[in-house]
Amino acid sequence: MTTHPHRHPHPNWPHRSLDTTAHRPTPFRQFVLKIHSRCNLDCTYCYLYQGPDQGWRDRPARTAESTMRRAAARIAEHVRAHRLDHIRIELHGGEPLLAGPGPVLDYARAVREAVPADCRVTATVQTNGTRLTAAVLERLAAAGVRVGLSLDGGLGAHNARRVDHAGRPAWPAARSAALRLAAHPETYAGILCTIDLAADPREVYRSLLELRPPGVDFLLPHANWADPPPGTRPLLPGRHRPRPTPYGDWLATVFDAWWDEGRLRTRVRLFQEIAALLLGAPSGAEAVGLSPMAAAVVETDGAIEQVDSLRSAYEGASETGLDVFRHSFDRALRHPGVAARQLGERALADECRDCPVGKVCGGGNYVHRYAPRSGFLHPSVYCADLERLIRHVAHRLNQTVHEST
Amino acid sequence: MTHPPEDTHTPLPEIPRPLHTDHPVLAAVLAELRVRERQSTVVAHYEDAP
Repeated sequence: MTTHPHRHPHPNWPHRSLDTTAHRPTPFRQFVLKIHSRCNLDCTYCYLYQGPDQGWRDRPARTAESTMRRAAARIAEHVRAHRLDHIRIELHGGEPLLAGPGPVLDYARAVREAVPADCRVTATVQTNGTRLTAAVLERLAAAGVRVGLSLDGGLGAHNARRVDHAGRPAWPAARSAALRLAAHPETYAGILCTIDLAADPREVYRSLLELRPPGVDFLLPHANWADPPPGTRPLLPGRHRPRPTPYGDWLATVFDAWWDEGRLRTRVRLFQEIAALLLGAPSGAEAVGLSPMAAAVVETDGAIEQVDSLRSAYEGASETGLDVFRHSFDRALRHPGVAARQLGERALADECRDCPVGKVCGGGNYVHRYAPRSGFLHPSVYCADLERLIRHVAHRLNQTVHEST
Repeated sequence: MTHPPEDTHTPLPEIPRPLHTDHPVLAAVLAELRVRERQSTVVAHYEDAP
């Protein structure tokens, strides 16, 4: 398996100081399966190909059939051991459709055939859309594989940073893919949209609605205390106040447009999760809340890893040293990085435990808490933005609830 | 901008979960919560892609 010499050694927390036997692990319910480790796009902000971890260069470009079968057998083993009745598989890359739909369909079929009949498998391929022709979409739809698109908005200008290796825009092909998907609502999983402060939030939201996604997830650009978000200046880790909140302001603007629409035109995961948390329910997403993270990644060479976004922190951050040929997923549950994300409030920094929005924010995305050497026991680098957004949602939700009663 | 430092310890409002609402977006949130309540364990999902 591909492992790296860790030019940046694993940080103190969780890797050196967390007792991973002191909690009861939550089984994995989501498996991110890499189909292809290369991408036909060269997006200027990509945390994988433009980020500090270049480990993808050493991995096979495609996942071999034998690796797919082995990963499927390990997933089935995990499903049986924990009597899971539903799992999600996410077919990812790179660009998972780079070699056509065949490998995506093969992997999904391998998992579905391996798991017990009473376990439902929701399969989704996450694509940049450039290879999603009508024929490809028909084959995915026929196999019950949903399709998620990665876009930065619903206009060409919003997607100017999404270009191929020759600098040509991905937008024309991606737009066609979105329109095709809109005609297949049963197959359309939604759109992942990374926030660009340079884009007008109302325009981004409105333009995405034109693509008729059933759901939109707005993603904060991956950043940490050593590599702060675009448009902000570096600080030492902490809960700094007062602070400018450009990302919180951007999201609050979109929230108002969504909340005041008069009808639900699309689900917006981040907003729904914050509202759920404010109403006393647990979160189903990693961006906010304290629910245990239950996702594992299988790389093209069979390595079992943590989620890709960790690669934005330092080289080797997502590695576990485990693989589907020699290790079970249960073994991965005892990895410090995995365990740390299942501890709820116990994984929060002191500032977060004392914070009045801490239980809703949950420290934000784990990836955004990183600082070199000390690790992940910090508030999010988006701490102020998250508080700004959460207080805004709380105010609007409270108003609406009291008007309803 | 966040509130001034002296206001950042203000607790969040306690918001009761309404049984019914005419607000279409809140209604969708509540419908999803009813589905979530039937799950034995709610886990956080990864929603990202390079």
